Amino acid sequence: MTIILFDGLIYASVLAVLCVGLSLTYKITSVPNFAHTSFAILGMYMALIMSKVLGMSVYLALPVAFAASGALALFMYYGIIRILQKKKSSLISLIIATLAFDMFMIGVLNIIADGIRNTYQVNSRDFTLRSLDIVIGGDGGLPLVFIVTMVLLAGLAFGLYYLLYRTSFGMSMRGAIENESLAQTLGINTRTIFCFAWFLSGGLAGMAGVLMSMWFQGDPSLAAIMLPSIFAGSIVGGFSSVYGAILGGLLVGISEVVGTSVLIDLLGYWVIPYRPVIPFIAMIVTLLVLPGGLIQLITKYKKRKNITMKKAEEEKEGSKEEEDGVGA
Amino acid sequence: MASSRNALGGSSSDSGSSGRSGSSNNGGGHAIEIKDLACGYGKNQVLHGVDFSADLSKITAIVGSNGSGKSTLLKALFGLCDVKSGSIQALGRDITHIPTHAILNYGISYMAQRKNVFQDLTLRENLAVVAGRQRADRAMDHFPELLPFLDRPAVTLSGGQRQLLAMAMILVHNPKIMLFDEPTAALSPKNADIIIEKIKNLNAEHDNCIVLVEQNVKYALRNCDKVYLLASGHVVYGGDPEPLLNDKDLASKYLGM
Repeated sequence: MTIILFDGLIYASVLAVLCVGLSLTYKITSVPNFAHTSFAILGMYMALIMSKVLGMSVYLALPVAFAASGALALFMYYGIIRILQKKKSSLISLIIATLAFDMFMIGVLNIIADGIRNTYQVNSRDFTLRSLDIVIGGDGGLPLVFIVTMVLLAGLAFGLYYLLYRTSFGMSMRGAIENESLAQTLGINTRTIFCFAWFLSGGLAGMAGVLMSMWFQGDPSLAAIMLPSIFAGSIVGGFSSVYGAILGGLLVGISEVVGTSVLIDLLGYWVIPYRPVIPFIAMIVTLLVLPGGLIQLITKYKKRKNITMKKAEEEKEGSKEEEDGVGA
Repeated sequence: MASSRNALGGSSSDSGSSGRSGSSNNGGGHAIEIKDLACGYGKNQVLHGVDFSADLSKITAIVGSNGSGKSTLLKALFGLCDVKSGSIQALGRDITHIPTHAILNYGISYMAQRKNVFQDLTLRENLAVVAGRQRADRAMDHFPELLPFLDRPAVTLSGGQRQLLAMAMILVHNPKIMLFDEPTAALSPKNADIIIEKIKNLNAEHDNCIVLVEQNVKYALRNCDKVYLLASGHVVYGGDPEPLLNDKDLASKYLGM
């Protein structure tokens, strides 16, 4: 039971972090990035290199993976997405470009995996670094990766709120996302903002990858396996909302782990390969019932409230003008 | 001194204006000077060989029918369209190929016709985006009518209030040149008057150079010192507003008056 709890919470939190990155880049470029998981797998291999090859603490891989995956995301944005957008490429072309980059990255990650195994005789496929983690309270105690994952998710939620709502840079970021050309006319350097967002998105995925490798098994093929779950999380929460992404990622992650566990109890172990069906079902149900995701419930209410306030303001102005007209 | 093509006969001197007070140039030259400008969007060329100038302390209006290139001329000044040839000088510096986000540093601000505030941000946040959080509150000194709405999302404002917020946002940087693209579009006559009054007050108080694109021709001519009439991307008149108002042929042909 404890293992399922840790499995569920760690997986769901990591998924939520990945969903935030996916939603952030989607909000900025309006392109769903199918290569997003490859940033996380790069983070996994950074953790393997730092711990098994260089003999350092696996937690030191967190900043390294953040920088490496962030740089990779930046390269993808600057080297592919931005160029295609400048050429006014269609959305389909952009999506295919992200898929192509994902395939390219899976190839690169396989080369890295084989390189590590052949050069350093370290197992680099289906590996886990769980044995390197610190367990607080001895056997059966609290694994450090669990605490770090929870802290990362909470820090991300608070940090994003602070950044977006309490700093001028974050407000500029929200403005640039809403209306890029207006932001430019007001002197906001949207290029810097978008580069920052892509770097942050890639960096967070890299950190999520490090944490994944400390609890689950890491392999280049995971890039394709995890992709439906991340998209499901983002869609369930609301694809264009970072807070919706956190909510959706948590829900889909917990459903996957707990749902599979319940199905194993009911039907047997043969259901395990069908685990990816759970995020697909979540995705389909959301698109049919609530296409804007869970966040749509909040935005709908806010929109209605805003329209009422605007109408009241316009009516007030109208009646004032009428009074002035009568007075004149 | 640059001259512009004048359909009333020959060229009209740029220095001619309706006599509002204040200095009319920047160290001997014009605040804005455009020469032989050709520009557009991608392969679509909108302006053809346009000469234009505007001075400090004056309001210069650009009028013309839909599709004549009024807004494009304003956008060209702010780096928002592709310049194919010609030159643009502002306050004595060449800004022909300066990117939009850097043009503010040259003392120029631009207020777009539509979508000129961030709808999802509150008024305070809209101002903080351009001014930083401290200066945001000070920017409101000129717009006391907006103070009760500071923490409301801009989407809840009426059309007039939104235009005032957009003006407050571009004023934050104390620009010497202000470009307004149809600031009274879709406003009630009363709100339109308020906006135009604000623009005139700014001009009187700060000696700015104001360039105004306006659909309502009579409105524009009544409130400007100098006017340019555009048709199919060419300047067909540039000079004092009075002769344009009195030329029935030109007014009926190009302005539907």
